[in-house]
Amino acid sequence: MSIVEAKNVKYAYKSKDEDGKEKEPVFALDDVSIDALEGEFIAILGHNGSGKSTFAKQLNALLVPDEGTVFIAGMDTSEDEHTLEIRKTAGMVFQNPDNQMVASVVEEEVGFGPENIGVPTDEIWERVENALNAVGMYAYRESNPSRLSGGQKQRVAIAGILAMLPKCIVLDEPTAMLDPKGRRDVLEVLHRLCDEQGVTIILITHNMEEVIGADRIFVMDKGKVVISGTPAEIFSNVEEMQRLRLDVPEVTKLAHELKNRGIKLRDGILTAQELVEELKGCNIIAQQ
Amino acid sequence: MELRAENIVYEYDAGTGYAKRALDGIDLTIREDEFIGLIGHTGSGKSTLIQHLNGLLKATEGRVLWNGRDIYSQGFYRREFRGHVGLVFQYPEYQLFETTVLKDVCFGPKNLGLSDEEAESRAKEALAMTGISEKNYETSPFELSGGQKRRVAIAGVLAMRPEILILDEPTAGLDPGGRDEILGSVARIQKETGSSVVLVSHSMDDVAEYVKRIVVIDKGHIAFDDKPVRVFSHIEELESMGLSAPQITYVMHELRKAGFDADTNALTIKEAADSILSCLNIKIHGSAD
Repeated sequence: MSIVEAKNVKYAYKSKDEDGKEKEPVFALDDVSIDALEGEFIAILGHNGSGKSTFAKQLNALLVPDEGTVFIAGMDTSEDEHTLEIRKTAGMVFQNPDNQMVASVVEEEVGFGPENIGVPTDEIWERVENALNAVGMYAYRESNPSRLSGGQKQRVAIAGILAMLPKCIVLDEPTAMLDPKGRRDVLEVLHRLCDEQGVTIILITHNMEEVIGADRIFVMDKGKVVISGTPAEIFSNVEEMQRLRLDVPEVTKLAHELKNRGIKLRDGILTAQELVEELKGCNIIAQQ
Repeated sequence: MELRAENIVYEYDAGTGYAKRALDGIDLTIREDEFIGLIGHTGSGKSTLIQHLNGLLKATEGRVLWNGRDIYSQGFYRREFRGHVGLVFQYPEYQLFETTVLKDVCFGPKNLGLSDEEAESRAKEALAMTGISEKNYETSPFELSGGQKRRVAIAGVLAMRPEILILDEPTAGLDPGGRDEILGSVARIQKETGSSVVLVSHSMDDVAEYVKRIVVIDKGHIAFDDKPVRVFSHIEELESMGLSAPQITYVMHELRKAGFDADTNALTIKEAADSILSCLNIKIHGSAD
């Protein structure tokens, strides 16, 4: 089943000039079509200003398309009566955890969403407990969120979304401000939610290492999707990715360098294990 | 030029029941022409430490010496000192405020008491160093892209001609293109001016590629202060501190496990490729004998 179905979406930010006249619209999204099935791990890449965050905001009706349509679990985001249900279905996590914390105790923070929509008290506690367990933060349930590390805060923010029992979580650069351990922990939680609970993940990031495990990647440039495919397909084209002000994982870069120096390797090598296997093959050829 | 922190201790909320020791006996010396990477997990004390290095925070115990003079002593000109040790905060573009790029960058040198002409010539020099072209001088800084804004903000500190430039996560939130531009500019400035740079970063790959010396902070202590090769040879300790080694280092370890004579000291793509080629060559020669 399709959880996210964005078709030919166009969106322009409106602005006025000094005389109060509307300026010529610049399309932040220009004919974007992106879909995600239930339980898929989707990554969206693109340089600053490519339209990624504008697209993310379309997914829970913070913005609605000027043209084209966005359906979330079958609901049209442009129809007001679906807004609340859409926001329960597709939760958002932003870059800076400090901007999204409202309570002074972790479990209250996580319970805030369900309480707001009138979930019975017993069920709130159950949801909070499950959500905190899912992100590995149950031990901190009585802590003050401001005393947590960045990675822990982001995991609490994810738990807050989980307590709404979403089908989909959209994360806009959730690890940009985190240290390596914080990044690893958040990524691990996302993959676990995806694999074990079938939650659809839409991850927007600038970190190429984080998208290696994604099912599909969409690359955006100037408001359009310019490349899409599996990680191996996307990262096969090192020069094209760099032209788009992006990058490829370090291992892919190393494989590319080796290829340029005359070693025969396949394209789209993403992990150390894959490179080792390929090089073993080269060794056999070299010895013959 | 020498900046020396001697046995720095810093406590937040000192003297209250909530006192928390953020720095616990830091000794650090920065000399001319150094490119230092400062790494540590969130809350390790990195940001607290750099604020001591230009006197924004006063140590609870210990001294900071600038060319042998105690910066806490009476009669020490701290404002002038902050021109010598320039600090670029995280997300510095939020601090841009002037109507044009050039005016914004002139603000620092003017504050140091320089004439308008001198301030402007320094501002232009700084903008050139960070790769902001002349056609943007009269633009509003708010009309620039994220990466450009950040380079203007860095130019604002460079215009004070600091002898030590400290940058707190200068690439956070930028796309890889913006990251390469900023780090490329910083590396070029370091090389051309012979000034020293302290780069605070969460990216081990960036640190491995650019710096000559790494200082690792953990729980308010300096855990390592050495060449990158030596620091990254302590993979397990780094991981237990919430850090890691560069991706390339992990690849070389995997290769070694698989029986290749790969150099686990390789930190950059180029070094790794050199090492892999040479071990493949040995096998080729071995089979020819």
